[in-house]
Amino acid sequence: MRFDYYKKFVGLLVIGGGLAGALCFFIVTMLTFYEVVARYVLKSPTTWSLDCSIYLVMWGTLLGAAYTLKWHGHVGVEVLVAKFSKMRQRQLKIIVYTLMLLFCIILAWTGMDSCIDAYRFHEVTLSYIRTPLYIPMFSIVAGSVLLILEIVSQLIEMIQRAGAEE
Amino acid sequence: MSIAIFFFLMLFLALGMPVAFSLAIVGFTSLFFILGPQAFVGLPTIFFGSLDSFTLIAIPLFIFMASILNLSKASDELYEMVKDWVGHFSGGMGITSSLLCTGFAAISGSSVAAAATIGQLSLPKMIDAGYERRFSFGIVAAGGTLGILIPPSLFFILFGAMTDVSVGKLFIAGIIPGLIISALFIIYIVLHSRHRGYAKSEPATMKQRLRSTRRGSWLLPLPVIVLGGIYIGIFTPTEAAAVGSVYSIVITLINRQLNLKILIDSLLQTLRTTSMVFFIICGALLFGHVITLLQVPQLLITYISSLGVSPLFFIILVCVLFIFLGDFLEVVSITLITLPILHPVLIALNVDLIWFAVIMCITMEFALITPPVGLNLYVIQGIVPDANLIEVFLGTWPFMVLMLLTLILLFVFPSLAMWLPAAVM
Repeated sequence: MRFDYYKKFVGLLVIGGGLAGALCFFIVTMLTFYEVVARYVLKSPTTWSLDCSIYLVMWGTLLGAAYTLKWHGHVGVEVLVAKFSKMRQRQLKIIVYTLMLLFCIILAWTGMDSCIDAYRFHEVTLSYIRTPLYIPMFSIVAGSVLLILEIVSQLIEMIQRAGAEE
Repeated sequence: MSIAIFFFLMLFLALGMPVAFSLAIVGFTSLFFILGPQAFVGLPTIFFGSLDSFTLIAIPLFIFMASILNLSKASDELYEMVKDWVGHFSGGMGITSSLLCTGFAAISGSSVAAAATIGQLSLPKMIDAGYERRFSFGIVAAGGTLGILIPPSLFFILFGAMTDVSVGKLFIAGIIPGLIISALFIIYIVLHSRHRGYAKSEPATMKQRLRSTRRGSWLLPLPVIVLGGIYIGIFTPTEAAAVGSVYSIVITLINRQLNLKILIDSLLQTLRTTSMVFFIICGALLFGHVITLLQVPQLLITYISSLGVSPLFFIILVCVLFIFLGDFLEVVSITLITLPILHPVLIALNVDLIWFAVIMCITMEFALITPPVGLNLYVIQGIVPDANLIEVFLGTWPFMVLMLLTLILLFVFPSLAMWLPAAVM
């Protein structure tokens, strides 16, 4: 029962992250288009649109990573695994997802460390508008945390199913 | 250590781990063994650096453009237009599908999008008209592969971002080989249709043709705006993608083909593909970092020099490797796993990178239609659920022979790829 609540909560978060990521891509499209208009029509190119676009794509990609995982969008080689029995496939998937979980925890932790350092030492990007580095860098933490939540949700489901089948 | 790294990469891939995570986990673990705790500092920095690129932004924008055109059914009118003009020839429906694949390739940049869009429109019609199922599958699956060769091409954007070769030049280099393949496909379709004696449809009247042309002509300026803008130097490929996306939104809005649901679905489709591609890029750059630290390209160069093989022979071997890898991995993964290793080798061997990109692109087209992971084969299965993979593959092999012929032509006449970029830019 508790897991159902967790699954629903994570599902909402991940879909929210996906929608936020999708919005980032829409804004990037409009920003890049505006840059062309600003350059040729308004004769006044912006200094900020390029950096904003790069960082928005970064945020969009990372917020959307968990949503993509939920929709099985991260491609892999499944031909060989398909030759095993269903039971063996599930066991392998649990191992694979556990490794992915460990990696995401390390990524979130190291990403957070980098963000704290960037904030503490007032680090800025090398670009023209000198954006505080922690702003784009935090997308790594946000994306990894969403991935951790989604992977845990899928792992619990896999283990429960394996248990029920046994 | 290099051998162990490749062994674990293959092991993780074989276990079904997503490509992005396989590359990232093997890359990070190797980095830890080489640098120690310093690897923890490097991890987020490499992730950040992988995505900090203006060139790469073109990828989601082109995907967004293709998604809008695909989901809003804007391409239906293009189909009617082409069918009215060429549908009455022998193999007319096949020619229509092939031409549309070429046309959609020129506005989308994605092979899967081209095969899905044109397949949904034309496959049921070809089968209803008595075309052999296998033949119809081949036309769409193989025709769709042109999406990555004819500009704008997501493959060329990735190649450009990884090797610092001008994406604009790469786009132009794909035009002539793309048109050659398209022409060969059409010749084969006509000859096969005559041989099989497929019924010709009634020719459309001039009034019908003009009416469908007026309806479908909205999409025709799109490749001109996107590619023309890049060639003239008005915009970068990324800006061209944004202009193309806005143009697609505007025309589909005017034609009442776009609503909020389609817009959101297009954005979510863009998000899923982009996230998948960019995560592989992050993993590949992490893996590439390790490859560089271990000096794998240098070792490979020394090894090739000691063997005394010619650069041409080396490229042929690489092509065979690409076609082999294409049986198990999809285009983005192959590109991002192999390029960091091959790029320094190609420079050392004095290979023209633009020519190589076109050669590689055609071998990647094979990857899209060879089982078990040829994505276009699954696209066809998605449209015609009772089609089995082998049946679809058997339909594509005559087209693969034609692609192989183009590949040989490019080896014999490299100027087919190199002349146009040199002349135009």
